[in-house]
Amino acid sequence: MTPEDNDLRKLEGALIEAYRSRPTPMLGPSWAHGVMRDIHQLAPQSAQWSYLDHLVWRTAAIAVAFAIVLTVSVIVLSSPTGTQGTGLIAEELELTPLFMD
Amino acid sequence: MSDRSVLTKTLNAVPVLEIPLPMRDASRPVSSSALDDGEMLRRIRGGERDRFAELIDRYQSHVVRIVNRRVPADRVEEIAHDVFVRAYVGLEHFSGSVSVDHWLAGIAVRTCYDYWRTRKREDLPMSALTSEHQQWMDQVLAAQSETQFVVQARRRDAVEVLEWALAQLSPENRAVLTLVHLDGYSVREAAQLLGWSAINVKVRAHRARHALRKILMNMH
Repeated sequence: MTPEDNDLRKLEGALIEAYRSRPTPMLGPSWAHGVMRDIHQLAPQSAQWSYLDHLVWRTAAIAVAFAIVLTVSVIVLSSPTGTQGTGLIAEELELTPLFMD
Repeated sequence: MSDRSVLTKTLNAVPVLEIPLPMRDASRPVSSSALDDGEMLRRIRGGERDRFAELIDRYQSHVVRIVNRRVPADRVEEIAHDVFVRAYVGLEHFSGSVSVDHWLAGIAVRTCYDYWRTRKREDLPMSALTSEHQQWMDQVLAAQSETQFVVQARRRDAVEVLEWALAQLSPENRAVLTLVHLDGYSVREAAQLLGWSAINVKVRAHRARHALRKILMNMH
């Protein structure tokens, strides 16, 4: 270890000691009252937002689920069935030669 | 044990890792406080807002101790106030996976970090070091015993030199250096408290200590 390293370690050690030995101030009861006053002012708004948040997200989830069910049912009900589809294509193929003449 | 060996032991312990940390509130027995805290939080969540005053009463000194080490003395009240307001707002997200003192320590550390982050460096008062500070450094280096060393370290000059050196670091490096090198937290603990990745904290801790050593070397 070089003399510079040793000096640095000593200075670091002194700064760590200075940091840790800093006395902790005592905050009076008026400080705690101030915090509680802010919390009382904050609480109704926060509760209201929390309720609104839940309502909005719950409604959104229900709406999305409903939209998915509706879309799937519309697709299923409005699309031709497998046999109907084949029949239409066969009809088209039969009529094609007539137009070609 | 001779004074010399005590001094050597003290210096070799930098950074000291096995020390009582402010993450746990040592003034409260963990086993008996855990159930009480849980019940108290449940009631606060249930609408008994006034019970939050009990939480403040229990953990005020724990939070103030953490804040006091990180911000200027004239801002301690204000920042500690913000810590408890943030705790109240974040109460519904507190899962209980860590103890209340640990949870509050994280909020306190991040609130102090935000304090430095929102201040531009040029706005910070950068008091110049005087010949008295230089003398203090010489006396620290000349200290031959543990007693002399501790006396020098507890002088007002020591705090002023520390503040001066920390003011030259970025808020990120300052936060990590304070946690890892000054408080003595492990990288993992510091990462948990800051909500950063362990690798980020590890890299910053190395860089921050290097920067601090450079500052001290230039001062000397």
